[in-house]
Amino acid sequence: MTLFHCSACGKAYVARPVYCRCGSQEFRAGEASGKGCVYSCTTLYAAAEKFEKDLPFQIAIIELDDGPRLTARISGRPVEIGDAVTHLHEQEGVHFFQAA
Amino acid sequence: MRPVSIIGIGKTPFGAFPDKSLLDLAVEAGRKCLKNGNISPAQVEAFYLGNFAGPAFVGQNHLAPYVAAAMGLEGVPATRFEAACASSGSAFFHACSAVAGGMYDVVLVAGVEKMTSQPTPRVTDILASAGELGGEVKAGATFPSLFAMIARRHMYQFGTTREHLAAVAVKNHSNGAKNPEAHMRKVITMEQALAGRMIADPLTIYDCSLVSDGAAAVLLCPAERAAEFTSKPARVLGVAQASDRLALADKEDITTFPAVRQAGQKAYQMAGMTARDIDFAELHDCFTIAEIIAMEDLGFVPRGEGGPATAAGFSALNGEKPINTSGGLKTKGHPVGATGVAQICDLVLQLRCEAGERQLSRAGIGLAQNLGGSGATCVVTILGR
Ligand SMILES: [Zn+2]
Repeated sequence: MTLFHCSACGKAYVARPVYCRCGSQEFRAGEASGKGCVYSCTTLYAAAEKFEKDLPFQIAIIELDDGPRLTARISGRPVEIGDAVTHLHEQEGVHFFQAA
Repeated sequence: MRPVSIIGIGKTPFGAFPDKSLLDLAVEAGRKCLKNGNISPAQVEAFYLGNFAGPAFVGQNHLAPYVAAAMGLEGVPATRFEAACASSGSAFFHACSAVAGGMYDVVLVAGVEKMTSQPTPRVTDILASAGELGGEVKAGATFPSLFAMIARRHMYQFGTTREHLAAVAVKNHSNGAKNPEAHMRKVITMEQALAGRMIADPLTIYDCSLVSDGAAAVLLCPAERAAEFTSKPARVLGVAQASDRLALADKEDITTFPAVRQAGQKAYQMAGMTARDIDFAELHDCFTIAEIIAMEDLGFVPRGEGGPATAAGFSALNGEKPINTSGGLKTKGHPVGATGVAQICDLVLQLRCEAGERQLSRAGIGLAQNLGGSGATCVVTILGR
């Protein structure tokens, strides 16, 4: 998966920000390992219209080894806090992860 | 800055009212409030309206002058505030600032939301739009699921249990059953709360607040003029608003809300008080975990102890610091844009000793905490007599 690194301080972002927290506006895109671990997660049994067909499904906040966190969907077996996960694919801007 | 007083309150019952429009609800609350404060519409100098998603729920935009005109407020500045579930808390904060700064004397603040005219998945959709669109909403997150992740992490870090969450629901149901204007007046047991239908694990239907229609309003004036209008004014001792990032993934620690801590500290400082001085509180229990975290962030209990304290009766009607004597968002109802001002109304009822069956014997200083989204806005208000 692609991450955006601040050219000034090196901080990594999942989406290109307007400003880095250090004030810089220069970023370079780079490939990341896609490895991380689960910071928190939940299984949904009710969803907004668009996602009702997917129920039940699990979402998680993933902490990437490269630093930043993101909200993602979990594919395959459910995960728990602290579990290692790897990036599977990105679909319409949504990142899918699975248990490592 | 001039001290500010609340001289009138007015609220519609909260619930599902298919025959009442957004305008009907707002006008009912506003009119009740004007009557309660012995004020004629012509005396009101400005109108502040809190509303989260009127355009999405009922299709009407430009809501503040629309509501103001229907209430009989002609020509005054009328402005809508949107801060998700803290919309009317924010309207209240800004109205207080304007009165304190000397811009106006008599100001009406209202909050309204008409939610039940839409089917539940659509309501979930509209509410989710207060989350962060790029990451959270795209991935399918709903508000219950965001707070479920907060709850899971709180359990992981502090050992909070599902029984602790359920204790909040049982308490708020017990209080709400005593509130004639609550949406759901039903006592529940711990067993029922634990066996509720799962919405987003670990949160069941009993951990979630209600989807309601309703409106609430308060009248403000400089404290020095309060006696002209009422014999029971409530004094705004402290009021503060703070903000934070929208996405949970962008927060360092999701088991605490920096905006709640900041708004709390500023409000305490303005009032010259600490958590110990607060007799009772209305906390933003959009989900049971939110009440537990608010107790911690406002310093009522140390971090991680909100759950055990609730289970031990700390926040019960007869506890050390009663929380959500109204029944909270959980049972009183949560018409999103009305909630912040409704909390203020509930504090005033206690301060005036007009809270009926749920009246506290010690109700000198009350605190209200109104949270927007998953913590990106918070308004904290401290009231006294
Ligand atoms: Zn930087």
